[in-house]
Amino acid sequence: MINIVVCEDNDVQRQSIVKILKEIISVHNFKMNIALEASDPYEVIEYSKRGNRPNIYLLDVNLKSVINGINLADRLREEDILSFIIFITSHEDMSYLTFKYKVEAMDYIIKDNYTNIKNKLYECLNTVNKRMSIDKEECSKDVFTINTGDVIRTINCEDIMFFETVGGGHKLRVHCLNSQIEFSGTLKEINESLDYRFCKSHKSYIVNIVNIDFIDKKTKTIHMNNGEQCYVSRNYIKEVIKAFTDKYEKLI
Amino acid sequence: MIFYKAFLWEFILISNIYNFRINIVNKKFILGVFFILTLSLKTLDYKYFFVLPMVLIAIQVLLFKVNNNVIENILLVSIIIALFGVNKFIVSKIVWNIPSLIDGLPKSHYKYIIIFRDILVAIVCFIESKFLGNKINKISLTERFKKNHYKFLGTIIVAILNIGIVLYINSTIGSRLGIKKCIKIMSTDIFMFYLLFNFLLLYFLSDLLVKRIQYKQKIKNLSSLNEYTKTIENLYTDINKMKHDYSNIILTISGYLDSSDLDGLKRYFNSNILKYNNSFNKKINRLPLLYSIKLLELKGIVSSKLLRAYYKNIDINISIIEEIDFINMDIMDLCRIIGILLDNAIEACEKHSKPKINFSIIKNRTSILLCVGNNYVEPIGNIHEMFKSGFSTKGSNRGVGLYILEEIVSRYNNVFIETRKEKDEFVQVIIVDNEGADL
Repeated sequence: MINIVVCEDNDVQRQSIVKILKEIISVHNFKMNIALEASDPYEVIEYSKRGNRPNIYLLDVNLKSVINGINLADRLREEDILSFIIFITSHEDMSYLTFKYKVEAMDYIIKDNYTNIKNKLYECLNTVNKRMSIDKEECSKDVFTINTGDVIRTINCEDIMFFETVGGGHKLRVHCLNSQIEFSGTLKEINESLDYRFCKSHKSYIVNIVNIDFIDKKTKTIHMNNGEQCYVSRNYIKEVIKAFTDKYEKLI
Repeated sequence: MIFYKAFLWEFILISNIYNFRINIVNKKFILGVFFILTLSLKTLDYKYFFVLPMVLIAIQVLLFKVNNNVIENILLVSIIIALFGVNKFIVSKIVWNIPSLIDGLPKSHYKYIIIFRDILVAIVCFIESKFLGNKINKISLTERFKKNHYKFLGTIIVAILNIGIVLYINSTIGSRLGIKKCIKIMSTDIFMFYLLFNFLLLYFLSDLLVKRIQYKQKIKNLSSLNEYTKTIENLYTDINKMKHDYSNIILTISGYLDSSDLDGLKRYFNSNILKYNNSFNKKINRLPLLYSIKLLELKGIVSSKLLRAYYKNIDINISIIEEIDFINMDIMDLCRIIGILLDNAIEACEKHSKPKINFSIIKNRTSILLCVGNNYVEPIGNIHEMFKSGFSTKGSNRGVGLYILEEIVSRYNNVFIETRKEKDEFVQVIIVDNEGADL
């Protein structure tokens, strides 16, 4: 059972949000319930310390209290790392990027009209439902965690094309389907947390075999599914080709 | 022959010591510079060898084009030349003094000894420069040389190195051509003169160059801040106008209320006030939200780029919650990076029907994130294509922005770029770890 917590100091708006939530839950038969509706952010913090998990927090950004929505979310993240946080705001004052990177909020909803709120809430609850239904163990294997400073992020292993070393120091870059992310680490270190799908192809590259399109032996380049290329050196080319052909055998 | 050997040794030295700092394009430039140096060494008659320090200084100053830190450049180049000279000298001395090798060897075989010595010098150069290159890679010379006493010390070392080089050349070329002792004695006076001259010239030159860069930057900052001030003043005028309009509205409403004309009030509200509210919201631009940026150079460049976007009717969304007063990287590099990101965002979203840019600076416990997001119109290509030099969807002379961005970030161990292309937004984030290596 997933718990939903609503924190909104305007009584009228809070009641209408709770009403919409209950509708969505019953119509789509989600295994969720409203655990707490509060106007005081401190109540929410108290709740988070009680240990009920998992939680979805719907927080209003402009709370007329000492702490505003973002600070509240910060504190909640400390207590409840895996919870889902959704912000409600009355105008687009804040960039959603702030939400995403600062407290890893799932989404933000603008209080402009009833239909919009309803649709957005449904979207969010649906996503949470999907994520929670996936087998937890599979989830952890299929995800790669990176940290840059104090920002911790996870990427799906299936989206990863390859890792490469960058610059002179302790930096790596992971090339994914539609993104490139830099983080600190060495190929040696991450090799330990990667499974059989990843193979070292070069002094500076670890490649995801699953996403290889084809290998060009002459130019010693590996072409990936998204059009990118990386390199393979003579030392590793045999291993890579073996792993690659193994993958195809498995498919057949 | 000497010429090609010297060039080979220099090549080994440069590629190892400069490896960490510069990419291929710049390396070619440096090699070209050294080409000139070696060429000049060969063609100089012994009478003109005293011109050498000038050539050295000139080359070191030219290299400023490649690496913005003058002192660091001068030091590195001097180290390279010194290593080159010292290695050849010492190895020669050793090789020619190994009795088992030299005794009983006919003169015709001397050339083999020379080749052996050349290979040995190359190996020694390689080992030394690799070692030095690794060591230098770990130190951030930029920070160190900002302090005055390091600059002073560095200049002395460089001056001594330069003079050492002159002495070496003097003695080898001199002895090879059979110069008389008297010139050798004279050269000690010349030596004192050059020591002083070299030292003074380098010190003042480096000081001057550094000051000039700082001055230029300050002028740029000033003009950016001026624009920012103008925006604030315009805002003040807008607020004044709003005050007057507000009073008028209140008056009109009280008029309707006095005569209990509810229908009239409804009409007035729906036709005038709502529209006014909407248009006013659009008018107040969000630039004053930059007040949280306490780093003036950053504030300047961000405000000037966002102003540019504002005048192109791009909707800008700014979110800076905490005060940003410190960032662990060179502020000029930071401004350059942000400038490139915002320029790219503006260019990319211009063609969209409702262009929008999201800009936020987030201060976490130990890191600062600068995020730029923009909507776009396909086709914009793939991310890996964008980072290649020369890529641009807009004509041939542009497209070096992202490449330069990568080059700047690669110099820092505590700065990371993240680039994501999502369905309706293109996002780039710069993460600066304030507790990173360079502190």
